[in-house]
Amino acid sequence: MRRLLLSALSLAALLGASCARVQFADSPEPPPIRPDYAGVTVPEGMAPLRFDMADGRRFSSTEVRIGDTLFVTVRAWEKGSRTGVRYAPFPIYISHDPIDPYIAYRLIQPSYESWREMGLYARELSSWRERPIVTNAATGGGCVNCHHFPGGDPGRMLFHARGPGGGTVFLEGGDARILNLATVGPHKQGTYPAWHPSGRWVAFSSNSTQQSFPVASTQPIEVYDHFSDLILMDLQTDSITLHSPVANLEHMETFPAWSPDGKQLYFCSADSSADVAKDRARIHYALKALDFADGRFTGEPRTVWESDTLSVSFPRPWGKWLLLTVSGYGTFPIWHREADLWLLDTENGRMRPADELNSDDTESYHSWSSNGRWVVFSSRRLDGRYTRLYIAHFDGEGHFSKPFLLPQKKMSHNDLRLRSYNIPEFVQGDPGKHDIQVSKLFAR
Amino acid sequence: MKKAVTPLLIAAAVFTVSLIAQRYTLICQEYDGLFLAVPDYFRQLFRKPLPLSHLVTDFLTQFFRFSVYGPAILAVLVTAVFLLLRRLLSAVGLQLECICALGALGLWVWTASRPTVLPLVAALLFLAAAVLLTLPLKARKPVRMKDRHDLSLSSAIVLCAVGALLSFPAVRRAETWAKVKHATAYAQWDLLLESATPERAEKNRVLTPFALLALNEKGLLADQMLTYPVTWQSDLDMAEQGDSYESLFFRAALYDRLGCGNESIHNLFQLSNMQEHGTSFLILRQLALQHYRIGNYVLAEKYCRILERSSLHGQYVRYIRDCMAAGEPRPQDAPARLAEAPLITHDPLRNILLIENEGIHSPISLERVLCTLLLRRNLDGFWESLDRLTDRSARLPRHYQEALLLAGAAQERVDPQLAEQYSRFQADFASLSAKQLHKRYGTTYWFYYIFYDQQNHTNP
Repeated sequence: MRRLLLSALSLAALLGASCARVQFADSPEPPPIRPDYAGVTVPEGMAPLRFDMADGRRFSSTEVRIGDTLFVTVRAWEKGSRTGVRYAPFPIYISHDPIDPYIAYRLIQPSYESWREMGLYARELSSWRERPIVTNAATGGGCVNCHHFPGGDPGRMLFHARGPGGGTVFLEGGDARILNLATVGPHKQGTYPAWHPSGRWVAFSSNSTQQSFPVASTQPIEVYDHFSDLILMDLQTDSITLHSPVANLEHMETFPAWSPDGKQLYFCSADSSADVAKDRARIHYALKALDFADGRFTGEPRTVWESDTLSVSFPRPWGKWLLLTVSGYGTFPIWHREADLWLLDTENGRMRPADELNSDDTESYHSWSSNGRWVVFSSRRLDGRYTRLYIAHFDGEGHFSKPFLLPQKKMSHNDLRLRSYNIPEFVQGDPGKHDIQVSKLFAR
Repeated sequence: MKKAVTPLLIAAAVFTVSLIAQRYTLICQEYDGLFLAVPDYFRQLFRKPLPLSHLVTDFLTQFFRFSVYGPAILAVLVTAVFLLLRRLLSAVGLQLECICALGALGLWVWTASRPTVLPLVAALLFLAAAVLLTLPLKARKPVRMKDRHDLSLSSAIVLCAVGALLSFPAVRRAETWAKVKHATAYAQWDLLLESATPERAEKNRVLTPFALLALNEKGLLADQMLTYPVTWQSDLDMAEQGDSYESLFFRAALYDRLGCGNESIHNLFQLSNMQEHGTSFLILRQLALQHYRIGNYVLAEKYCRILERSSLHGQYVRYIRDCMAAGEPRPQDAPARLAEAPLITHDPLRNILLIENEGIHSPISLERVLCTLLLRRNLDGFWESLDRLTDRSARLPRHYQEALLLAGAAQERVDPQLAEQYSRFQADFASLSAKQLHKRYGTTYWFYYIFYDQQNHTNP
């Protein structure tokens, strides 16, 4: 035992001595770290932000908290070198605005036409723990997509499970049921969902979507709809109704989103085309709104925002603010490098690119926390292909903080993971694991 | 010393036979395998039944990339199973080497027709656990046959196992396919043609497109295409074969050869969904290479980093990084170009033309276009393209000349002997049965043109 202790002490002394031999020169610059966490704002209790040196050097870091700012000092050196650099400390700001404790997302290989394993997962934000909510092992290997937690309620969820025996799965208060929307009412399948704040209705878009593959351009995939409509499902009667102004052949309507008071539905709409693939550059979706009262849509849609050169998707309202994705054309911005997040003030109609959030690469699907103080969105800025999640603070006055990459136990996990994060949504509690419940639906 | 004879015999037999009969099968197990020191790999692994067996199998399979290592590892595994069985039986008082040899070699022969060595590894781990459990047991006096008898029987069992494995049609088929796959992945066209002969392609139609690609690469497609059992266009391009493993693998290779990295990557991603781990070493290597070729160095580097998490990719990763260091990444296309970029279609011929229009020229394109037109029986299109795209003074390949005879065009470019054969064909056409004609003219374009039904692509 004594010998063991002596060996351990000798080893520690040796290690200490080797560290002490490195001489550090001070640098006034912040350290070149990956991801760039300098100056980001994080919620209290967030899992630690782990980073690497961008150039792969070895490093150590120390943190000092002064008030609501964490100052991180980084010392970096080359392996085997006796000299290193001590960089100027960089700040990480800590916000007292609470954040929902979980984010739900789908993990999938960057989508081409087929898939093998995919699933909906929940990530606890105070730790690095990720757990499956439901995987396609429970649905016979079919695609699971378009999950949605109304208002971030962990006890209510819907998602689509495609393939034989598939349909839309509703998980509510411990009950699970499946309904194939294509067999009800107007026989239209559901795609992007929006659950009404009252909980009674769900608006879906019904899309006929196709992927195409450019021969030689730097964009690997193009996705477009041949046609799309909006449908409304009444969960009390399991009936589906159409409203002709948003269910016709002249226009393509998609991405429904309820206003917080549930009195209007935002959606995106473009004129139909006989050859969408050919005309895709000329298809620009506008943001529209439709009134809703007493369980039905009323009147004609009105245009909230439109452009001849830009196309909008994924409107997500919070209070008077509406965050959306804007791309050059089309309806599937995740494959468009120019896609950015924009913020619309619905009171004055002013819209601006949310430059604080955007990068040179794709920014796309986004959602608000339940208190509207945080947004999570997906971005391809890390490698241009595999979407990763970023979180930013919102001050309620139209300004976002610098976003931070969802931290992982090791930064390298972001490089090594071969799946993309898809449709992130904040959830107010642990959504649980539903594989068994869902597999029973498919066993029937 | 006597105790070492049987295991040595088994090891030698397994190594030699595997090296001869399963060399490429084992190499291709590495292509489809994966072992990465990354969290997602382990998470997925431990969701499977028998995770330890999968882990050991995946780890060992990495080494199959080198042609001698696979047979050597297999020999060690089979011998270890034999030794553990022997130890187990001796613990219960039986010393019957022939039974142990039968068990170990039977498992070897059965595993030979499986896609991985998992059954062998699982058996080995199970036996190792059983031996550990029996260690505290007091050894019983062994009941044994005479050594001489036991050794003769064991030798006979080794011979039987070797004979069984060598005569197993599934093992031979797998080896042929593996050789074709290896040759395609590394552009070894002579090796491919040596393996995918017309006779073998007759028995296994999936070999035909690969053989035709090899002929195309060697500039012999228009001379020898119809020596293979070609009955419709899809035998050339696999366009109608759906998304089978073979067709995705073929299309990934074809578009790579045509210089269309995007479409090659598309097919590699599709292929990855057919792999047990959602990807494989071969796919990761190809993704790194293809992304380097299309100038997407960021993604090429990502796949390099992932490959670095395996045991044996240091050299490959260095190669890709050296290439990138010497090259220039491709800048992103302007949005206006992206919006108008042509899209891949379901028509392989149109795709080749689109690729050419994008300024990507491949030495195999022209011959492929002309042969596709021939297989479509589009003689007008063929003649127009031939006239426009080829040197009028150059010697024409055999099938082009046959097509010209059929079309009655440019007879001056046709070899007189071939013209004579065509006259004989015309004379025989009225008098001979389809079968007789097939025997005499089955490798000519005239026969293909007249007899193969493009709807049903049936034989006459």
